[in-house]
Amino acid sequence: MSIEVRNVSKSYGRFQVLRDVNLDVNTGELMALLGPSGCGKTTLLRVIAGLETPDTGTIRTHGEDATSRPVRERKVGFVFQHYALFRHMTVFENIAFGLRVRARADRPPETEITKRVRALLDLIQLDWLAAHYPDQLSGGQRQRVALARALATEPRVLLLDEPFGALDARVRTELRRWLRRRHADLGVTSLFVTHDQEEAIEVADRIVVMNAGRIEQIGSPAEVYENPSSAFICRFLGHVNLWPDAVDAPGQVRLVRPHDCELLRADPGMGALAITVKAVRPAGPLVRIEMQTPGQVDFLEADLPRETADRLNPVVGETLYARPRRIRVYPS
Amino acid sequence: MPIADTSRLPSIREPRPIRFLLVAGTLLYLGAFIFLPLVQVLVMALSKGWKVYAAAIVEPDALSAIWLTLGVAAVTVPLNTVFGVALAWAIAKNPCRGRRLIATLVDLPFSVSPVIAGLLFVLLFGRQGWFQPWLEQHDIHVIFAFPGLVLATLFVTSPFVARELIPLMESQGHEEEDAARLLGASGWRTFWSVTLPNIKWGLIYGVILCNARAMGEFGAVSVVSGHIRGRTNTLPLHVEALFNEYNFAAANAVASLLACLALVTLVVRAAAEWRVRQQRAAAERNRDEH
Ligand SMILES: Nc1ncnc2c1ncn2[C@@H]1O[C@H](COP(=O)(O)OP(=O)(O)OP(=O)(O)O)[C@@H](O)[C@H]1O
Ligand SMILES: [Mg+2]
Repeated sequence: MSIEVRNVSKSYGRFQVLRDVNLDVNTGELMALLGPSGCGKTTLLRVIAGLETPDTGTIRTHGEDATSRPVRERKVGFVFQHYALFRHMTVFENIAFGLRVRARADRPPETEITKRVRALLDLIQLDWLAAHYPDQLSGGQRQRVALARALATEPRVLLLDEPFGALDARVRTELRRWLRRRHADLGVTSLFVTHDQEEAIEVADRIVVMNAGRIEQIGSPAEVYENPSSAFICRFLGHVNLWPDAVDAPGQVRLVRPHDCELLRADPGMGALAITVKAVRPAGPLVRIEMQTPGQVDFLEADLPRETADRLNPVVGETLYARPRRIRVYPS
Repeated sequence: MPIADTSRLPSIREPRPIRFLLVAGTLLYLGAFIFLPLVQVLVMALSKGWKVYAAAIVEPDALSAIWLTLGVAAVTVPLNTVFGVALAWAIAKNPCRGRRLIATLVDLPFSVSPVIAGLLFVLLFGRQGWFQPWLEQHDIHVIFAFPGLVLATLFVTSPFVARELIPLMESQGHEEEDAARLLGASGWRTFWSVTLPNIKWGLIYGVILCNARAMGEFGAVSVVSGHIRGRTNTLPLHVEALFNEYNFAAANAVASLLACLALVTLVVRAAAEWRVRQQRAAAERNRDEH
């Protein structure tokens, strides 16, 4: 086990940011941390890194108690949400910093430092910006430098706070794949925060979802997506329709994912809703239909495979019948 | 990157006559209260010719005052620089309890009249003061001597560096320091390679202000000095002594030295600001090349 978080709580003044958090990240695992803004993701990362002391609980990294260890000895790579690059150092010096501050005995020679920094600059595709200062870079460029800086010391544990947030789709995919590969090669352990559920589902071995300082669910992407343990997670991961129902079911919410929604021209009876088509939007292999039931303000959404949509050929304004293939019921 | 040229947008600027009045008023004010007195000092200093001017400055009492002033500044400015940086660091980078209170206390010397500050030291170290028996035993003279001048000046000039740095450091946050520590840097290394370079220009500016006040302080120093000519009179006190003797040419000659100090302060400050601007411009150029 590379990172073990045990019963960690943390408050700022009267406001409790982390509530009894327990989390294990296995060696070599790439774990995604998801949650709404302000739920305590950054705080949890800072506690693991040792930048904040938890009020209660312990942190173990590599099997040893890290709670009382000074930050500099924890050997944790950290990518800050707001980059935190050294503003008076060039990109090159920023990346080299972690190597240069080592004690003389294990500091690599200057040629080796240059070689490593160059390699990282190649990786993030910013070799032409080596002599620039952080305030001369765009957000996405800064983010990549922050990533390279954290990687330069080759830490065994990486904590990444939205490391790809400001990048364009292509660079993002590239760095994501690279991170994946590196995991397979080196056995680094990473915990990364992301707001992008698709990213989490695509690269992470496991996903942990937080809400209001608590961990709500931990599991593989498929597990968390297919069997959300609460209405909150179901809504948080991917689109979901709040399904209106003929049967009154007090104290329950009924949720239906757009791709679990079938559209039919003829009323199939039991459980189907009459809806009016409001918009038809082709998106890649799927076609998204926006629709409305009489007496409801909110739109519902259905994702149909392109073929099915072509066969059905829905027209804006016409009335169809929507039948959920799967309804998830949660206590409200 | 060019920002929209606001001068082309008449609607967001004041009408012409009002602008003219404002500018003229400001210039008049500056001229009357800053420029005129400066000119007056120089004119009076040279009113009896260069010879009298030079004589007033190289005269032994004046020279002693110059050395004394330099000596006091040489001790107080480094001490207050270290104190100011340490205090600003403690307040801005450590979210500890009571930092607001400490930050308010930093300003205390500014809200106390310098004369009161001087009196305070007399009460502590003077004839009937608390520490008098001990001081007498060890034959140490504080009041009416160099240590007293240093103490009074230290007190009066202590806020300058800290005040300059606290808002600067607070605005910069502590994430860069966090990053440095996570990368394995010691606290000392973090301070020298991350914190200090980030506050360099603010620090220089604070030190300049501190120095100007240390050399120009009158009230607090006046109380503890005892006005012994050639021994405990700093430059401002020497000016006053000459003035009281109706020796206006000499008084203004010595005063012109202090005026020069003010000008040097201004120039160094302008240079510091110019350097910052130049760095920015270089940064902009670099960006435009790509
Ligand atoms: N130093 C602090 N002092 C007081 N409150 C804080 C401090 N740092 C964070 N908080 C509070 O703790 C809560 C969690 O903050 P945190 O930065 O961990 O959120 P987050 O999950 O990272 O959000 P985001 O996705 O927006 O980055 C927020 O409500 C924030 O206001
Ligand atoms: Mg955050």
